[in-house]
Amino acid sequence: MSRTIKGKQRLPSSIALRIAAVAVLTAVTAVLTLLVRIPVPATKGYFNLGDTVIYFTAFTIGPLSALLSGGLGTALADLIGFPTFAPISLFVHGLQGLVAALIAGLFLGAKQRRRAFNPSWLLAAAAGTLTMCGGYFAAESVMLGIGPALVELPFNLLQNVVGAAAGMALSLVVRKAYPPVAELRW
Amino acid sequence: MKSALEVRGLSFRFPDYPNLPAAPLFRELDLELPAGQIALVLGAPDSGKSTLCRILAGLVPRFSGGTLEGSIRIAARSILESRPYERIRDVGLVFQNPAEQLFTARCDAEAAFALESLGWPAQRIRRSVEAALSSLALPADRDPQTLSGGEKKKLAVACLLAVRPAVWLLDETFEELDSGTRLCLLERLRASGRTVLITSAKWYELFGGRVDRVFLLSGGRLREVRPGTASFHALLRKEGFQLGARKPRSRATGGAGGAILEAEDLRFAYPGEGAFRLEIPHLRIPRGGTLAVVGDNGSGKSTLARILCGLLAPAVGTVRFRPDGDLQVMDRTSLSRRVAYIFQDPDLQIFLPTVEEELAYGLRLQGLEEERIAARLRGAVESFRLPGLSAPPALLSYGARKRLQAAVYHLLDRPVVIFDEGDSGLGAPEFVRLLDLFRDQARGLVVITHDLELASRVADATVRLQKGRVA
Amino acid sequence: MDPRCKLPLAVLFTVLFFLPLPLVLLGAYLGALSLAIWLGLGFRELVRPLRTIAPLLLLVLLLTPPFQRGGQAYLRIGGLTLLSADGVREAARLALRLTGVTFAFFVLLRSTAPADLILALRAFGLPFGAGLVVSVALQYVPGLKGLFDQVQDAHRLRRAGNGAPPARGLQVVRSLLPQLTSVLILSIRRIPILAMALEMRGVGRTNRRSSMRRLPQGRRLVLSSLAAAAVGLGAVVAIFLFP
Repeated sequence: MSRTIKGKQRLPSSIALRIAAVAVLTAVTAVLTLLVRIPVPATKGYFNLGDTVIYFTAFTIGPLSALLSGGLGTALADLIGFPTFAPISLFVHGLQGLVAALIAGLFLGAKQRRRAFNPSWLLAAAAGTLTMCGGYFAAESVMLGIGPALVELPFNLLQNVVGAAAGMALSLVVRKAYPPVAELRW
Repeated sequence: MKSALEVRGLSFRFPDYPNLPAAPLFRELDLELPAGQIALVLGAPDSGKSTLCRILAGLVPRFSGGTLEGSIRIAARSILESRPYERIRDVGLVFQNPAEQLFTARCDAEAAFALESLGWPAQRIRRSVEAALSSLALPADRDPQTLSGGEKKKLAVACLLAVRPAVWLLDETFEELDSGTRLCLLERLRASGRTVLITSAKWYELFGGRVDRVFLLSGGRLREVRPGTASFHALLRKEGFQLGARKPRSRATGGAGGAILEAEDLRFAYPGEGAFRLEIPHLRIPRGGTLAVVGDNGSGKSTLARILCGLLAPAVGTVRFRPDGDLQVMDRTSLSRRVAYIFQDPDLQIFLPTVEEELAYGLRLQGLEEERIAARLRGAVESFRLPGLSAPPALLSYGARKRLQAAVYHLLDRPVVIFDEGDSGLGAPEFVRLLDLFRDQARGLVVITHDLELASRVADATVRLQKGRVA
Repeated sequence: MDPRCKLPLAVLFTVLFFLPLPLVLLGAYLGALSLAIWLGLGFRELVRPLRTIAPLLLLVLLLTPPFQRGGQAYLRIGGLTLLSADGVREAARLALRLTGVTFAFFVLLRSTAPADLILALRAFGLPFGAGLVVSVALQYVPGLKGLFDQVQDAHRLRRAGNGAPPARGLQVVRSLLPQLTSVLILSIRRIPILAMALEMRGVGRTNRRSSMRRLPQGRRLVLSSLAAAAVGLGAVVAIFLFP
């Protein structure tokens, strides 16, 4: 018996594929959070690219991948050096990815090929920034007190603004350079 | 006899992407293997060996997209009607790059995973896993990531040994193994009594008499050939599965013009890794000639290359470069400007969304005018057989990505070029052709390979490394 | 100790450090945790986490007092209380909390193999898929790190000799974009391939999975549980001994 299988527009909704997507993106988030630490000359702090990957995932793949890989990836990175913040990162960065991806997806027509810049990304980035900065501020106020939480706030804000901008740029470039990425939606 | 594997009228093409229409990969391909037979499929790079294996395993077009026609039956079940995880006892696959299929933290967990999916009781899993690992002399507690390339292949085979599916697909599993391992593996497969399909881009003599059938994959079809005949060996040479006798090259200046790059008393050790030390008393790359660096995995070939191109600083020793007059001692930055290092994996050196941007990147940094860039790009597309300037590099075939990578460095025009396993995924004949594009009187080439035959074919001089020393 | 017993203990200590308990008691908990790290893992392992949280501790100790100005004032500058009794107490509480929680998780993580920890989490109801995601991600981290290093090397080689000045500040992010693109594409490409590998090994089947490796059962688990219960109970009972 002969059969024809037509090329699908989307990859199959397989559990293995979802596990694979979240595992790989989690690893990328963790590595770029840990590895790429750009020293901020003004203070002695570091600036990492975890948020960049979270926004990339939110704008390119989808809400559930952003929720899971953003949370797990940053939490894993924390576990390696800074276990105290792992549970906070898990929730706050996960939520940040989810919120950004949901808002970015809200204004998309089903038919839209999602190749160009979408203005809703700005709103999504703002909401993501609010979620992340607010979440960390709340958690750090309890954990460290109001003072240190206030000191961290501007760094988190900066990291989000840069992360969102870089995430958008990467999302556009990667879709152009590797069109099959559009088939991964979760 | 009952067929274990039956393919009828298989046609397949990958999906089209903007600026890169897909050509049909298979047309009306047929294949039938009775249970217990071992078949070898010889195919040139990019002929579709891996895709064929993945189609037979039911992974393509499931995970790749594309259009497939025809019928495939394995162990009397249609592959197209069921999911890969429902058939793990029917068909198993060793990936061409086994590192891509290992995902656990221990070898025994790796081999046990499929049996755990089947829900076998722990005791039975343990017995089966221990037998599989010990028959290939693999450690149970090592992290698969720390295994060598050959050991990873063995571990992927051990995963199949534990499950013992009806049909085994081994995608280029015999390449990059030493000959002892190759023979041992082939004997084990024969003893298992399973139906096995092996793909390979090379013909190894030990296949003769040990595989039951030999097929040639070319032009989207399979053709059965009879080994041992004179026409078979002529065919092997014609298709590049075996290198012929050395062709005399026209190199009037081959090595005669002295050295273009010379290294003296190089010493290097990675911090924290006690065992390995690189010690090279003297190394000379002939101007207008080719130096081959051969040796097993871990012998220090890539470390040497990284020192020569300025990525690593030697602990002791100097690298000198001679533009035309005297040799000049070079620091790392100056070396990086003069020595191109073409990695084995092209994807690490490809960054940009289109072939055009990729090729023009370095030229634009050099401040060349757009018209001259365009002219040089057209030349490169032609001589490196690239599919066009607007295609996205990430979607090209592996061979085309290797050619693009080479073209990038050809345009950068570095006086010394190092190729790390340049023939892998490209095939020896095509690699020899590319080398010729790079060869001119003012340049020195270094070919890093584990293939002695290739080295003797292309090089004017050969250095053999063993555990970091010149052997 | 069995990870299934260590895990609830770590959670218990975390909760305790957030409760409004006397500072002396929090100090005693921290002392007990430090002792466990010292005896179990060695003195150097006690210094390591302290070093990572040192900048934060400093921030906490410096910045908390100005926000808690109640009680007797110790230091005032121009009508503004910078240091007071309440401030000192609050700073000490927060510092103890940060150090204590860090130590609790540190001792758990340093003394347990990741695979065992995942098995323990599964024993507490973590779904198989989630455990698989974490363990595969952990396996991929070193490889990805190597990949990123190599892509950076490749980039450096290709840019060499073109007189481009080294990037600074936010330019670093910009100059990283092509490299990040490569890493992301290479990673995304691995997703369907990893999915293939998972399905070929039966991920997606609906039958019940078995497991070759199990955490020890029987007497060792009972002993481990008893020890954990004793420690936990001791910590809780201590609350009532300090009125």
